[in-house]
Parts: sequence; C-alpha cells; structure tokens
Amino acid sequence: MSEEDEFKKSYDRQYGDIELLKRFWRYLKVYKKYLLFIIVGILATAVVTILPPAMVQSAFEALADRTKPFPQAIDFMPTSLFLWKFQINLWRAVYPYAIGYVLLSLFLWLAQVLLGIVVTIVSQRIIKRIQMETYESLQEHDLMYFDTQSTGQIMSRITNDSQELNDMINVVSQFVANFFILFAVLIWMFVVNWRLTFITLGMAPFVFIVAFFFRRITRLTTGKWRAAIGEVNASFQESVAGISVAKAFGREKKSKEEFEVINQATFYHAKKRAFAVMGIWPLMDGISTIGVFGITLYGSWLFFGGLASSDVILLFLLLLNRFLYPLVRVASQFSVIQSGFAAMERIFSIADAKKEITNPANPVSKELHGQITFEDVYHQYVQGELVLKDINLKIQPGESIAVVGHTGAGKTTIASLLMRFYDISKGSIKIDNVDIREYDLHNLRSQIGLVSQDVFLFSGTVLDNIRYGNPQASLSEVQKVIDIVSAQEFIDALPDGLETELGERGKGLSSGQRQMVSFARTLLTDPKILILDEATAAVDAYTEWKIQEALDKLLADRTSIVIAHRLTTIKNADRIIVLDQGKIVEEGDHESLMKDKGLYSELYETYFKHQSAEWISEISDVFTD
Amino acid sequence: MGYKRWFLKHLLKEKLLSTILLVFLLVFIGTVSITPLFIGNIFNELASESGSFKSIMSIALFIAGAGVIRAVADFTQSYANEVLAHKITKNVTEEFYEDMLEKSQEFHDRIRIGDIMARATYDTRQMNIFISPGIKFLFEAAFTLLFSVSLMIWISPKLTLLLVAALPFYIIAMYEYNKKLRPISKAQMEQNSLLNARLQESVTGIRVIRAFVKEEKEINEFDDETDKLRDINTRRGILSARYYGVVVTVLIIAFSFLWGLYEVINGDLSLGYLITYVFLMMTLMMPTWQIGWGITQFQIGMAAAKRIFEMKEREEYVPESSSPIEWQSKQGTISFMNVSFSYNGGSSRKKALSNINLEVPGGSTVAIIGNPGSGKSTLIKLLMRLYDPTQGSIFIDGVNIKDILLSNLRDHIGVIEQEVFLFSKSIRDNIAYGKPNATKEEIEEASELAQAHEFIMGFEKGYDTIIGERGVTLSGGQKQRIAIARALLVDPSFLILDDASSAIDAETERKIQTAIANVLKNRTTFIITHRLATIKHADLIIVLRNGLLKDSGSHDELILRNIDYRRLFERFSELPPMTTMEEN
Repeated sequence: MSEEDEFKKSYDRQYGDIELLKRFWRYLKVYKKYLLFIIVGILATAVVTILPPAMVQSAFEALADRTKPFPQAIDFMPTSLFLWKFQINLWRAVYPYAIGYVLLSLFLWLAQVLLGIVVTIVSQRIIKRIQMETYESLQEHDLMYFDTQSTGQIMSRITNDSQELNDMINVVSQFVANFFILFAVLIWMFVVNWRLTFITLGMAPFVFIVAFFFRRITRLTTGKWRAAIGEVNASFQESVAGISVAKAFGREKKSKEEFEVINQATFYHAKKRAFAVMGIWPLMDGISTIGVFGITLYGSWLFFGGLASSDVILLFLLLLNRFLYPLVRVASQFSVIQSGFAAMERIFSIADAKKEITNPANPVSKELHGQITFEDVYHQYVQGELVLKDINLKIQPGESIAVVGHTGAGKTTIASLLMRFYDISKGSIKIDNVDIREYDLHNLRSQIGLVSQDVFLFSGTVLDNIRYGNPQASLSEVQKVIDIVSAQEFIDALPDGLETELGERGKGLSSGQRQMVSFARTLLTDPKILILDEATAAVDAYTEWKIQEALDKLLADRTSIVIAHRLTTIKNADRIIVLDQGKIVEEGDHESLMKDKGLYSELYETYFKHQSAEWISEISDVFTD
Repeated sequence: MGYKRWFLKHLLKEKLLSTILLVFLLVFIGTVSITPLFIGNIFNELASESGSFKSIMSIALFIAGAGVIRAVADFTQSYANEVLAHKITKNVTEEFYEDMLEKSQEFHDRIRIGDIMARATYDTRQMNIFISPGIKFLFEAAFTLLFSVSLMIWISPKLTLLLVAALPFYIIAMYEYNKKLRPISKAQMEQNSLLNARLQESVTGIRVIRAFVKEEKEINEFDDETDKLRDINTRRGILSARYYGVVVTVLIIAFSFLWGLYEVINGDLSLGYLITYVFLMMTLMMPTWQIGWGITQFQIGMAAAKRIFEMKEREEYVPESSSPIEWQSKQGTISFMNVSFSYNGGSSRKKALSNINLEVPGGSTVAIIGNPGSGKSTLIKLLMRLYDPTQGSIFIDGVNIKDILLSNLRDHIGVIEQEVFLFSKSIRDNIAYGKPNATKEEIEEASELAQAHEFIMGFEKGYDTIIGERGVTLSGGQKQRIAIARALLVDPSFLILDDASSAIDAETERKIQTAIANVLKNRTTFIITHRLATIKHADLIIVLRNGLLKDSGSHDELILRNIDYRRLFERFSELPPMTTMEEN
C-alpha cells in the first residue's frame, strides 16, 4: 500500500525543477573540473558516434565509382569529398577511411572508458555527500520528527532514493548526448538528401506514440507490481517477526498457504508488467524495419531516377537507428529524470524539515548541582491537546521525587521535557536557575541520566551496550553498575558473559534483562540528575527491591525523579507528586497523602494495593472457585 | 548440493518457458544476422547492370518479412524470459519463506530479521535481474557472435584468422574482469546490508542516542560506512568502465572493416557483401556490451543466490525423529530426566540448565520462579522443543518428546508469551490464529474467558478492529488477554504462560488473574510469573537459581524452608519462622 503511495508521490512534487537543480548544483560545483571533462567528453563522443557511417559511406562511394578521382588525405566531411583531382590507386583511396574508422572506434572506446570512470567517481562522491548531510541533519532533528515519520520511510530516503539519484546522474549524461546526436543526425540527413530524410522523419511520430503509450502502461503496471511486492515483503517480515507464535500454534502450513496467495498475486502483476516493458523494444524494432523497407524502396526508386546515389542509400540505412534509438531513449530517459527529481525532493525534505530544538547562540556549559524548577509549564505535542498544564515544581539538589498518576497523566512527558527532547509550549524549566534552553544541549543531556520504560539496546555485546554512554569506563566501573542493578547473575548465565553478542534491539535477552542493561548503561555515565521512568517495570519484585537498596546509596547526592508503579519505590521517595490530566493535584509523603484521601489514596487502591499481602489473599477467590 | 546446482535446479524446473526462450531467441538472432545479407544484396543489385526496381522490391519484402518475424520472436523470447525470471523468483521466495518458518527458534534468536529480509527482497531481485535480462543477454550475445561470425567467415574465409587470433585475448579479458569483479560484488552487497542495519538502528534508537549525546559518534561511524560503500561502488564502476566493450572487440570490428576493404580491392569480395560485412560488424557491438553486463549481473545474481542458499542451508532446526509418533491426550504427566542445556549447540561455556529432574502430574499447575537468567525460559523452550536438551530427556506420559511428531507436540502445547506478538490483522484473526476455522461463538467464548470480550466490544469495529501500525494500539494488559484468548481457543493439553509483570490497575489485575485462573482449569500448566497470588495457588512451585533446581513443593512447604521463595513474600507479610535450613 505504502509502496503504491510512494510511487504515486514520485510524480507529485512540491519543489520546482529549477529550485531542485539549483540545490543539486551545490553538490555538482565542487567537481567543476570533472564536470567540464564530462561535458566535453559527452559532446565529443556524440560527434564521434555519428562519424563512422561517414567513413563507411565514403569508402563505399570511392569503390563504387571507380571513374572518379580520389582524395589523397583523410576527409571526414561526406558532402565535400574529392577535392584533389589526381588519380591514384584504389587502395590509397580507401585506406584513409578504414584507418579513420579504426581510429574513431578506438577514440570512442577510450572516451567511453574515461567518461565511465569520471562519472562514477563524481556520482559516488556526490551520493556519499548527500547521504552524509541527510544523516547529519537527521541526527539534529527534533524527536517530534521521528514520532511522525516511519523508520522505513526515513531509511528509504537515505538508501533507495540516493540510489535513484545516482541512476539519474548517469542517465542525464546520456540524455544530453542523445539529444545532441539526434539533432546532428537530423541536420546531416537534410544536407545529404532531403527527400530520403522524410522517410526517416516519418518514423518519428510512431516512435513517439509507442513510447508514450508504453510509458503509460508501464507506469501503471509497475505501480501495481510494486504494491504487490510491498505486500509480499510485509507478510514475510511479519511472519519472521512472529515466528515463535507461528511455531507455538503450529501455523506454519497455513502461513505458507497465505503467503503463496500473495506471492502468486505478485507474479501475476509481474507478468502484466513484463508484457508492457518487453513490448516496447520489439515494436521499435518493427518501426525501424518499416524505415529500412521505406529507405531501400524509395531510395532505389530515387536511384533509378538519378536522384540519389547508392552510397547515400547506404548512409541513410546506417543513420536510421542512430536517429530512432536516441529518440526512444530521450523519451524513456525523461521519466528516469523525472523520478530522479522526485527522489531528490524526498531526500532534501529530510534536511528541510524544521528543527526547533537547537543549541542557543551563547550556550551555557557547566557542571550541574541538580536543582530543578518548573515554572508555569504548559506542554502540548499536538495543537490544542495540552498534556501538561500549569506545572510548578521545585526540586532541591539531592532530592528524590516520585511521580505518580494514571496512564496518560503526563508523567513521561516531564522526563522528556527535562531532557529537552521537546521544547515546552509555555513557561520555563530551569536547572540551577538557568533555563534549559540556554544550556549547551550536549552539556545538558550528558549530565541527565534517563532510564526509560521503552528499552532500546544496540546490536553488539552486552559490554558495548553498558559502555554506550561512557566508552572509556574501566571494567571495574562497569562491574560496579552491574552490581547495583543486580545483573551479575544473569550475565554469568549468558553464553559468553559480558562479551555475549546481542541481536538487533537486544534480541537474546528477556525484557527484564534488557531493562537491567539499560539501567546499568545510564548509571555508568554517572549523571547528576537521574530520571527513572518505569525503569524496572519488567524486573521481578525481588530483584527490583535489591536494585532499590543499592540505589539508595548512589542517589544520596543526586537529584532523582522516579516514575513508578511499585509501592516500595514510591514510598522511598522524599516527596510524591500526584499528576492528573497534566496537572499537579497533590504533593507530599505517603502517610500525609493517604490521610488526605485524595487522588493518591484512590491510586493506592487501584494501583498499589494489590502489591500488598492483603491483596494476595483477596484475589485468591478467583483461583478457588 | 551447492548453490549453483540449486539455482540450476530452479532454472531447469521451468522447462516450457526455457524452451520457448531458447527457440525464439534462435529465431530472433537468425533474423538479426540474416538481414545484413539482404541489405548487401540490394547494393549488389544497385551496382549490377541487370539491377531493377522490381528485383530490389522483392529483396526489400524479404527484409520486411524478416523484420516482422524478428520483432515477434524478440517479444516472445523477452516476455518468456521475464516470466521465467519472475516465476523463479516466486518459487525461490516461497521456498525461502518455508525454510525460514521451519528454522529453529535458536536460529531466529540469533539471525537479524533485517538479514533475512535482505535475502527475501534484495537478493531475490538481483537473481531476477540476472535471469532477465541477464541470461537472455548472454545467450543472445553468444548466438549473435556465432551466427554473425559464421556469416562473415562464409563471406570471407580469411577473416577467420583474424578472429581466431583475437579470441584468446577476448576470453582472457573477460576472465580477468570476472575474477576482479567477484570480490567487489560481494563486498558491495555486504556493505549495503551493513549500512542498512546501521541506519535502521540509529533511526529506531534515536532517543537513546539523544539521551546519551552520541550523535557525533553515530555520524562518524556512518561516515566511515558510507565512505566504504562509496569506495566499493567507485571501484566497481571503474572496473566496469575499464572493461567497457573490451578494446579487443573494438579493434576486431575496426580491423575487419579494413580487411574487408582490402578484399574488395583485390576482387575477392563484392561491394554489396562489404556492406553486409559492415552491418554484421554492427551486430557485433551489442554482444560485447551484453556480455559485460551479463557477467556483471551473473556475479551479482550468483552471489545473491549463494547468500539465499547459505541461509537456507544452515542446519539449525530441531530434527524430526525418523519414525515420529502421534501423541494422544492421556494423563499428561511430564518428566524431566537429568536435563542439562547450554546455548550455541552446547559449545557455550555456561550451562543454562544443569541436571534438572522433575515430575509433573497431569492437570497440575506449576509455577516456576527464579531470578533473571536462572533458566526459567530455557526450561519452557526445551519443553516446546524449540531446542533439544544437551543432555538428558523430557518425557510426556513416558514418551520421549524427541520421538513425537513435532507438529503434533506443538499442537498440544499452548503458549502465552512474555512479549505478546500480535499480527497486524483484525482481533478476530489474531484470536483465531491457531484455529482459523473457529466459529464466531467459539471466538467470543474464548474472549469471555480471557476477560477480553468487554474491551474488544468497546472498539468501534469490535472483533474486526485492526491491530498494529495501521490500526489500534493495544495496552500490554489487553495484548496479554488477547494472547490468552488465542491460546484458550486452541484448547491445548499443556499450557505455558510466561507472564511479564506489568504495571496495571487493580481492575485489570483482577481480570488478568481471573483469565489465568480460567486457563489453569483442566490442563497441565507452567507459569512464569511475578504475580504472588498466582504463585501461591500453584500445585507445584519450582525454584530455579543459576540453572539449578534448588527446590520444589507447595507454597506452604516452601514458605517454611526456601529462602529464595520467602524473599518474594517477606516484604508483604509476616512469615512464619523457617523450619528447615536451605541446602548449600
């Protein structure tokens, strides 16, 4: 589905061609010298391409009409032959053309080789630069951008679209050459024999009609084919991702049957497309045959009427395909250039996406003490949907704050805002009395540690992952954080311990284990401010309790914000903040909040109570029915 | 069987298409080569005294006729070739898909989805391109060379000398090109997939990169990877350019023109046939390009075939017994006898499980507890035969599970996974996943038991609600209940419930506990859970630590004697004093 959309989109553009070309020129102009070489090379090649027929024609004429005087030197111009009027032997008459032919062929070959090399070098460098710039800009983008774009789309821009751009660069150079050849041949034919030129020219409309018609059905059938391929890929991907479920339910056979249906549909569309794609060249060949037929018949009629010599007929036969084929190519290459432009636009769209969160002009860099102040903070991700309202909060250095509330109350948003993943809509967040927007982003983020509920590990070893934020950490430092998060036991059980390779997203570890690694990774950066967003939700209660004990010491001189659903964690905090629909509704310690009988005691009833002993006996009735 | 034979097998399976391709290719090339002869005759007629418009007309009609046949034959062979390519792509994709489904869980735990998908998409496409137009190009080139050169030799036998002299150079050049290209093609493909994997990771892991301020590191690494790719691509482009058309062929064509002229002057060749000669030489230009292209794509296509084949051939599936038996539902007693297991085919230095001896009576509920890495999941995976024990055996009603038909075994075991995977289909399709022909009533009944019916009906489209990227996002608790419904619908004899504790409110907690209680009835169930109420009510509780079975028994027994077990409860309630000291 998305493939088809993508395909349609490629013909629906926002930027003008000129604007795109201007931007593309920025990359091209770096290689001005190479470019000059390419242009000269293309033009020279175009000229040389049409010259061999002239050699053949001249040699033929010299041999056909042995009564005429022969030239002594090489003369490339077919219409102004025989300037020297003295008789020499036959061989001397034709060998210049033959040698000319050899030299021209060699020159052509050499030119193609050199052009091929230079175009490759230039295009590969440009592609690399565009990819790199796109990637760099991606790294600077707001997280909002990633929230709205699919991974597949972003990747396709950097890989597929830049490949399409590469194709376009190659095609453009041919396009220019073909265009040039087309005109050169046309003028030449007119000069030699205008009557026969009409036969050749008469083929052009057919060429255009066929090219136009086939391009349309090719585009149509290709769209459907690509969409079908998209479905095959999606189905394949999902089957592999859900392989354990398929195995557990013994659904392999059924999955195969379903896959066969989709695969068969792709084959059907591929066949339809093949009909269109493969039809065009034989038809062009047919048109060319009509041309040959016409030239020979009309040519010999002219010959017998004394209006054309046989070498002219030969020349026209030789020139026919040199005229028709560039015509077809120009017509078909046009669409490659079109989609190249579209690819260019898609790539540039990444760099063009607006960045809101950037380093300030005079960034503050300093060591944080950890005093955090939220002043009248409002935030919305989507216009009109306030996630946080009127948040006022002062956290002292070293203080530990627990944030509780229903799902969607805005707890995670507080963490994201403090990290400056998003900029707040109104108000200000200050750390040590400096607005976080005035800090150097690098300086700010590197001193705040976030352990988020959504764990992402990289492929690589467990050790690599723990050291991600602090690659220079010594093994004893690593050991320390491993002990704090109680990860030693499971790491020992891994096949290669710390050196065990993990798959993508930390495949190979359970969700609880991944959380422990992620926790250790953050602790290793020794952050001044620590945000734990459901950091141990998937870890069993006992391990969590052990982590909690170990953390208490560590957190003594650090500011920490803990978002949790486990009662013990919350009880340990210096202060509990209760959030409801984006607002702070209560604040205090466990005992006082319970006495207030407000939202906290309500939350306690729904969320925390069932972690206590009474609940265990209360719930027992469901098992004893 | 090597990948080459595997590829050939697929190619030869399509006999009809291959035959059509070959026959029409011959007709096509025949007409291509014959046309220059007709053209030459026209000029002979024009040059001769007896030449007339009428005689030329008849030759021109031959040219037209040959042209029509040529166009039809060309279309037929090209179309047949393209269909052949897509047919093989379809077959290979299907075969690969089936193989991937059959691979063991261990294989899937280790191999990245991206790597599999690269083979299913990019590599099959490269194979496709090699077949069409690659194979056609190579055959066309070979036959054009054969036909045109034969005609040229017939016209001028002396030319043979020149061609024979040039041929070794040409072959050497092609051989060298081929040899140099192979490592580059391989490197190119590897670098491409490496780059893709990197890119994917840095996009999906962007929050972590931000949080740890590692943008620069990522950019530098990406810079290195793209540099490598650029260099490989450039090397490949330069190599192709250097062998463009091969200078030998260019020289042959040019020198044979020279030679032809010489023969005309000597009177060995008519002028018309010199023209035939010239046109034949032009037909030789295409093959040199086609061979270069064909060989390049041959390299790429065969490397792709190799990659697909090698992944297919990795023998990492749990072997089916040579004479498997069907297990019929009886008591359902499960016993583990001296079971040990280590990952990576037993080569891993750490044992994930060692010497497990266990007897589970049919119909009982077993709760497995232990710290992360203690071997809980491994125990379950062995029971499902996702892996086989390195030592020891597992029996169901006295039958070694290795002897039971794999599909039969798994039919009897239902699983509710820790990380529930749902397909991006409707809720109905997801619940009916294990029993596609289930009736509406059956599905709803299972959902009721799983406490899922209510929230499903809360969606606008009810059971037809689509889940996933294109549809509704479900909470962890909702996903879990759908997974429970999915398992209940199949009504398996054994059930495995790997229950990740997630933070949920009391109402949902009660519902999940109720759903679990429903699941437990009348079947042997293994539960990994942090839910103490569930553990407390299990018939048998197994305590694992570091791969060892530390203790087993009922709640009342363990609470008195097992320190690991007591820890789970001690923060919540006053416990009776321990009666027995824990061993070791």
